[in-house]
Parts: sequence; C-alpha cells; structure tokens
Amino acid sequence: MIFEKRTERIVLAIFFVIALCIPLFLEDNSFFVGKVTTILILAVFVMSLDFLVGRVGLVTLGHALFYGLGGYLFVILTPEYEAVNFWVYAIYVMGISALVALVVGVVVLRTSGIYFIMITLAISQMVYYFFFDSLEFGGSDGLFIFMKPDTSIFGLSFLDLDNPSHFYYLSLLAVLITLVAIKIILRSRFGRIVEASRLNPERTEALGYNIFAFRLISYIIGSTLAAYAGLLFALQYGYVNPQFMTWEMSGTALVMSILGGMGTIYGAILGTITYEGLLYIFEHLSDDWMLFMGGSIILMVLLLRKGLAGYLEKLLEK
Amino acid sequence: MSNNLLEVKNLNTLYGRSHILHDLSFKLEKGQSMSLMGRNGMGKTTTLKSILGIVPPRSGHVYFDGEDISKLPTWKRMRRDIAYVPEGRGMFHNLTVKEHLQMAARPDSNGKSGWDFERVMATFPRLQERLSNLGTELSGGEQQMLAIGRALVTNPRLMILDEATEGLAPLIRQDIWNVIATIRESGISTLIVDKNIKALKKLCDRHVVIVKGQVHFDGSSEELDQNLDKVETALSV
Repeated sequence: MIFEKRTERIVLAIFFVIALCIPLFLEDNSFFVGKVTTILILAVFVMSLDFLVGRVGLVTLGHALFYGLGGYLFVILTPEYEAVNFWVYAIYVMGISALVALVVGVVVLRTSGIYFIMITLAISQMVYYFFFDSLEFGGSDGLFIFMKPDTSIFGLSFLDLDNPSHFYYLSLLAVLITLVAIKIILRSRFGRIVEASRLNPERTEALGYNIFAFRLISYIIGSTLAAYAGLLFALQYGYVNPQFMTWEMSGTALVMSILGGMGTIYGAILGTITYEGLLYIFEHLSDDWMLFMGGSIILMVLLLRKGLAGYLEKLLEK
Repeated sequence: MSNNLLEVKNLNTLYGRSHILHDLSFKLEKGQSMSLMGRNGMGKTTTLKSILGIVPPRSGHVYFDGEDISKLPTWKRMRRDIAYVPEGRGMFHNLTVKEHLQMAARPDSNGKSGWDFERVMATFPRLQERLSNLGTELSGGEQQMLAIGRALVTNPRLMILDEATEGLAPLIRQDIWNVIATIRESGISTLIVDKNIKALKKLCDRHVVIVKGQVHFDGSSEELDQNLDKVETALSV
C-alpha cells in the first residue's frame, strides 16, 4: 500500500468519491465545474511544490516559472490554426520543461538555504519580465489558444476538451497520477535517499551518495509536473500570460502547501481546496475579503502547526 | 602493487587558523584491522573526516587501494567501498530501521553484494523486532547496531568506526565488540577509533596513537604491550 497512514487513506477516499461525482450532479452548472477544475489543476501544481519543499527540502520561490512555462511552451509549439494532439504536445511541453529545469537546476542547486530562495525567485522574475516585455510572446497580454487540441489516442477519441465535464475528469486524472507518482517515488530507495539528505546532507553524502544529483533529479521531476499543471490551466482558459509566472503565484502555492501540512502530499490537495474555498466565500461575502483571507490564514497557521493534514492525523491516528 | 588498503601521507588539516593535524602518516594493510587512539581533542575524528573528505586537509594525500583519493568529493570516496559509522550513530529521525537499510544498500564497486538486508538481520536479530520504528526511537545499543548494519549493506572493503562503544552499557559494549570481530573475520578491514585499549589490543593488528595531531605511537599489538606505559600515559588525562 503506497498510502501508509490511515488519515491519508480516509481523506483521499472521501476526496476522490466526491470529486468523481461532482460533474454528475452539476452538469448544468458549468461555472462551478470549471471552478473545481481550476482547483484540481492548482492541486497538481501545489503537490509538485510540496514534494520539493516538504520532502526534498528545496524551498523554492520560483516554482511558478515552470507553471507559466508549461502554458507558454504549448502555445509557442503549436501551429496557430491547427488542432494538435494533446498527448503528443503534453509530452513535448514536459520534455522541454525538464530540459529547462535541468539547466536552471544546475545553477540554483549550487546554493542552499536563503540563497536558494533568493536565486529561484530571481530567475523566475527574470523569465517573468522577459515574457512581460516580449512583443513576439504577447507581452503582458500573453498568448491565446485558438484551437483546442484533439485528445485521441491511436484514433480513438473519448475526451472532448470543449466539454467542461471532460476537462474536469482530465484534471482529476492529473491529480491522481501526480499523487501516485510522487508517492511511489518517495517510497523507493531514491525517495529514502532524498529524505535522508533533506535531514542531513553531509551524513547522506558520507553514505556514498551524490546529493547534488539526487536534488537535481527531484527538481526536474517537480518542475515537469508543475509545467503539466500550467499546460492544463492554459488549456482550460484558452490563454497564457505572464501572470502565471508571478512570484505571488509561487507564494500562494507555498501557503496552500503549508496550510495543508507541508510534505504530506495529500495535504497539498486539502490546502488547495481550503484556500480556494475560503477565497471564494470571502470574495462573495465582502469587499474586504483580503482582510478575512489574511486573518483566517494567520489563525490556521497558529492553530494548526502541522497544517490540516497534521490536525487530522492527530484526530485519526492511534 | 602495494599491499596497503589505506595510506595517509603527511596530512595537514586546519580549522580556520588552528592547526589540528601535523604531517600525519600511517598505513593500513589489506584485511588488517587498525585502532586509532588518543585523548579527546587530539585529532582522531578530524583524521577520519580528513580521510573521508568531510573536512578537506590543507595538504597531504590519502591513498585507497593505491589510488590517490585526496581530490575526490566525499561521496566518490565512499563509492570506492569505504563505509563510515559516525560518532553519535547518526540516525535519520525521519526514517525507520528498514528505510535506513533500504536507502543505504548497494553492491560494492565490483557489483558484488555479500551483505544484504537478510544477512544484517541475521547478524542483529534485535533489529528484526524494530523494523518499523524510527531510527531515533531505538536504544543506544540498537542505534549502534543499525549504524553498523547501514554501513555493512554498502558492502565495504574498509569500515571506519568512530567511538563505536561510547555511551553504551558494558554488556551492550561487549555485543558491539563481538560484532566488530565478526565483521573483521568476514574480510572487511576496519579502522576503529575508541579509548578501550584492552578490547582494541585483542581486536586490532595495528595501533596508532595520536597526540596533538601527530603520530605518537605506531605498532603491532606486541609492540603495544612493550610500550604500554608510553601509550597509557598518552591516553590518560
């Protein structure tokens, strides 16, 4: 069983049952289905960050770089008025993002601690301003996707990306695959070494492991998953702009991960839903929603030291 | 082809401006076992850390099986089949006993793995009952067994133990000495830092005593007996 904790199994079971049913009951309310789809996509992004920050120990403030890159790469790679195959281009986007992560990783992973935070922030801001000021990539307006890609595999088509419910299930599938993939990685020998090196890099190196290589591979994995999330988000709304890459995006994802319980991975899903849920409620209740949002985050961080997942584990684990 | 597994030549190591090791040199032959003794603060741990590259020496060379490994990063030195059991056991508090062994296990540089999970379990039956406990939930003796087990699954040719019996109850200490003897018999060379002359005399072929970062005595167990006064003076406070 890759989900070791009882709490984890209960939370994920409830989540997937509810998530699977949502479009069945809300078929007519495509706004709500779309909203939840966005939350699912964000959950993929936050899980990939939670893996890096909570498990590998790489506190990055530039993760949104890859989120934006996923969207941009897709638009740049595809011909403007031609429907391309989604799966093929998703692989292209992830492959190129992995290469970018390799180059960025080689640079940023030479630092650690506060310097790592600063350099990841600096690089993502650099790329942000590059797209912001670029004429050929649409500047601050970004780029639009004119043709929704086709999703057939070997000529069989069972997904229509224009149908909100179909897109919803594609996003839910991304959540499931990301979750399972990260869990399998963490349970492998690779994951144990990464975990050990987060705790004590020198000691892990003294066991004969090249920490740099392990961190670099983890960085590439996390970044590639973020790019996939960015690709989905761009497809859902039909555009990509520099806002995808802002440091606020990285920061918000970090808050979601902390809120959910850092390093728990399933907590990232909880954190994303809670954050987005609260945001939605406060935005509709009051014009001063920022005040309530900030206040409730401070409260939760103070009361739930180990996040929502930590709190639930305290209740449910014996 | 030399018969030395490990050779330390004119090692000088400094912490900032304080000179810790002064032209330290010694040799360890293949299959042999060596003790490294000295009072606290004389540079024993620094010697080990210089050999492993954790603290880079200012000058001098470390040869392993004839190869100069002085310029290699720590992890590459360990890949030459060296295992290190650090002082204080060095548990990872976020990993269980089983995970400690899982993450460390690898075949030696020739692709052979004589020491695997099962063999470690057979050597330390007590760990068998604690597999899903976190490393830091174990008793001192159990932690030491796990630290040695974790070193064994890397299939080393040389095992370096720093203060392996420190802070353990006498009975447990004896257990650890017995295990180290078994390891030695299985053909793994050992370099042991400890203060217990009696146990080390039985266990090791060769003894090096360090005083103020310099070799004060270097000889076999018989020579140690002949110079017992000199050695004991160097070790007593």
